[in-house]
Amino acid sequence: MNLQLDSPLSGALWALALAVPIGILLLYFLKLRRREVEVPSTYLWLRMIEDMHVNSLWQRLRRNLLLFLQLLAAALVLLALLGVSWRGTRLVGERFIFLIDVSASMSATEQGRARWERARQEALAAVDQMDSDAVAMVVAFSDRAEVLQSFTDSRPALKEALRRLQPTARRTRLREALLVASGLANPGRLANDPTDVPVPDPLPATLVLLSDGRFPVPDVPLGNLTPRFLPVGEEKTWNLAITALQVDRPPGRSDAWQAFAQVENFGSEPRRVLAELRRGQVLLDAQELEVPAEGATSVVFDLGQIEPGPLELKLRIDDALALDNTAWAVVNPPQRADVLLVTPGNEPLELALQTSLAGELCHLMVQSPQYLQTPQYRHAALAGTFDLVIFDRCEPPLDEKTKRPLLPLANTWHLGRVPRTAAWGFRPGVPWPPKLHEQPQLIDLAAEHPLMQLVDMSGVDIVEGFSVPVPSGGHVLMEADTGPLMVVAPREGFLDLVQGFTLIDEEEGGKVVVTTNWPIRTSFPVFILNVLQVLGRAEQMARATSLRPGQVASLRINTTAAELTVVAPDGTHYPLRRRSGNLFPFLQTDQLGVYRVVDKDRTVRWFTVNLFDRAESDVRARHQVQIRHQSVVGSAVRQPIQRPLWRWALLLALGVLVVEWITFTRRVSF
Amino acid sequence: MTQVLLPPELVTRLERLHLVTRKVFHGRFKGERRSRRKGQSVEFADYRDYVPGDDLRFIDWNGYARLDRLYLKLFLEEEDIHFYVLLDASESMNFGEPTKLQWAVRLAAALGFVGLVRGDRVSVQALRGSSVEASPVLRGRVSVPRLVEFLDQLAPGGPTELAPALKRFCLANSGKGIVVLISDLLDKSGYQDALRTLLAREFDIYVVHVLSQEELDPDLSGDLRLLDAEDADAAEVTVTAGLLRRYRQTVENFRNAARVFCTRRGLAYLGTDNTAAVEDVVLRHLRQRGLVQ
Repeated sequence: MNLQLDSPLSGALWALALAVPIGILLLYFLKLRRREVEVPSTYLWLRMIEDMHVNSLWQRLRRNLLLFLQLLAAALVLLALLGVSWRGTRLVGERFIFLIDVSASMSATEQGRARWERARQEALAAVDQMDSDAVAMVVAFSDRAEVLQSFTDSRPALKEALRRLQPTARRTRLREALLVASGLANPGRLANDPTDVPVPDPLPATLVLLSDGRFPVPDVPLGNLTPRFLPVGEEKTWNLAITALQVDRPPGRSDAWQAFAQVENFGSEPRRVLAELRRGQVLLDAQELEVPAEGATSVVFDLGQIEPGPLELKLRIDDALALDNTAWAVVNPPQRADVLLVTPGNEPLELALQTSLAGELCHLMVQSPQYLQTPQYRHAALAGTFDLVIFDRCEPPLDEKTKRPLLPLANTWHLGRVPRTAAWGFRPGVPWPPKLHEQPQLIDLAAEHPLMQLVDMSGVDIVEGFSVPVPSGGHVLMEADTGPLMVVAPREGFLDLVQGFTLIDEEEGGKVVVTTNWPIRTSFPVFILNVLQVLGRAEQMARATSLRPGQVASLRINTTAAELTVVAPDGTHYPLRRRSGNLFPFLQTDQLGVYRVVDKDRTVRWFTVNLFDRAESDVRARHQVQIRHQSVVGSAVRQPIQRPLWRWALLLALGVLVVEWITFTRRVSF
Repeated sequence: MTQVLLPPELVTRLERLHLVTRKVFHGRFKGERRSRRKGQSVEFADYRDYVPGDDLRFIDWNGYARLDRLYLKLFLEEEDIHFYVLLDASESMNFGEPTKLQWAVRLAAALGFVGLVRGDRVSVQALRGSSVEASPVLRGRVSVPRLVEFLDQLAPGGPTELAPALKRFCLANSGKGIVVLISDLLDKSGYQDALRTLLAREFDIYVVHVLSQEELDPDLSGDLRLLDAEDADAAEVTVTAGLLRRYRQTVENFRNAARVFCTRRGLAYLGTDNTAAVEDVVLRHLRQRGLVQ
């Protein structure tokens, strides 16, 4: 606030005006022609006023309220003549929508204060300066929008809503918030928020966006909304962030683990940082990293053989955003995979799947091809009951509705058959199954692929096999002179392994014919173990998935319990209920850190929630944002206004004169 | 004037009274008052042994007959008393309705009348400035007209200078007796010294402190220049309600201080104002204080 003077009087007139109070003082002394009254004795009067010298100037002034009042009135008139006006700011408008960014980047701290707190402070100040008849609503947004307070003119309610504001670790998606806001301001458009009230007439509103501007350009027409962007944060704030952390097997080794991390520098200067990897309180390893400006550095921690459990990587640095200086990864306890073998009978395969080592990795269920036609299979396939389904010389049944093969929600291994899907090159009219070649000669193996780890195919003979089509994204594991003999390809998050030869076959009459000597080679049980580890999801389960804040965790846990418990990083216990099959969805993933799934006091799984978001870690604020085709430049939301104070001064002077008159007539004491 | 100063109904009631002193004094003439001296009255006081030269008329012959010893019967002497009324006749007493002086004159007439009818010696002395205007010493009912005449001709004038005036009074009246001082005590040099001068003598002192209603609750307002009626001293005041409140408090303090001063020194104090009925003052207040019975 500041005061401004804008007097209409010239210098000479001012001299005259200033003469008024002096005149009053002079007149006051001149006018004092006291009435003379004879009293018996002034003795008592003098005794009373012996402490005051009646004739002194001060006493005259002190004893005369009227003089004071007159001088006060004159001073107020002079103040009015000075043209004093109050210069401040005010929020101009009638309807406001405060969109406040509470995404992860708003937790960045600058000058000892988090951005979201500054945004809240700005919003509180704006609410204070709203016109008394103006209405406003408060929406907090990250990758979702939350209406903290719908339209109201109650400032306490708005302030209370702003005080409830809490930061999140989520991403920034302005789109959701804009949909809510524009749904309120633009009739005929639906807002996603249930608290949204239908607006019968177009009611233009001012959209006050308090954010650091780090969000993708939203493609939402604003309609009646007038956007005003109040940038929060500074453009040169730097930040180091862990943008990736993964625990994996080192190539060629199945008995050890290593942690791989990526640290990025969102700043214009290179930084050195100490990265510490801990398991609980135990420091496993620490490395000092040199992170180039605007660049990234990778770091690998060799862990050797470690027990299952969570790992924490921490950057020892005091930067703007603390959320991304810590990341978590987890090595989960091994879990047996549910494997379904559908076969008309395959002794070598069943034997290989029932070895003691395989028994530790999987829980095998053997069914005949007729099982594929039962509703149980259909249910199990759709519920994702199995981790791996092995189709030995049989094919998944056709779905009656889609007329496509009903592939289970699991990894599959097809022996001697190719799925009749477009991905695998199935077309109506194309000869199917592919043509068999006799005695294909193996000429290449993809030894680097996890499925082929330690698999030595030398001395393996194959009677006949067909060339396997290679789908998009597919990987040839075995290459023969006749073409690919074994191919693995992704399918909506699952892997399909297709083997172009069988292990045994049946001739007409039920006679079993051995079609390859592979099962009697040592490479076969090794390959089976690889299949169980990779396709049985043993590997994926061991490497815990990292989720983004707010992302749904779809946990697949083999348990008979109907309800499990998830212990969040802050120690809160959430019930985890089975949705279908072995799927347990979990929604409360707002906190960063390690979540523990507990089944009757036993930890069965860990999963982590990490920021891992370059857009959020890059905390350099933007002072100009783009909303659809409109560019909004950051500006002060409050507009400067000037309120003249001279009227008040004159009114006050009038009031003083009235008091003076009353005093004069009534001789009130003071 | 006699009628005004001493209305018949008041006279009727005053005739039943007589002056009383808390001290017993030697009178010059035989009066109607007990004396410390043993003498010729009808009231028996004591016996004492006869010594040669004693008046044989007072020997208790009946006792001699029984005891064969000569005893002298002693009787209380009855004497007259000196009664002084000191009237403050300064200019400041010329205020109020009736003026304080008029009121004081009426009181002096009433008290003087009581003294005269009881055979006491009465003297009224008007204090004007440092001078004292004294009436002749009056005695007996026959002197009432002279007393009234003296009082009647009293006119206010001069400043209040109690101390020199009372000193003069004390020098001129060395005897003992009752002194009733009727004054407003508005002496700028203070009344304390004056009263101390009286105390030095063995007077039985009564102070009647009279103030006018105008002094107790002045009806003043505005910017005023107050002129002292005695010495033309001026005080400029702006009278407000607050100031009046403070003035009343000052008057109250003044009267309290005078009362405390008198009480501590054995002086009888009566604070009153010019609107009080003289009859009431004499018959009630002064009777309570033991001046009359």
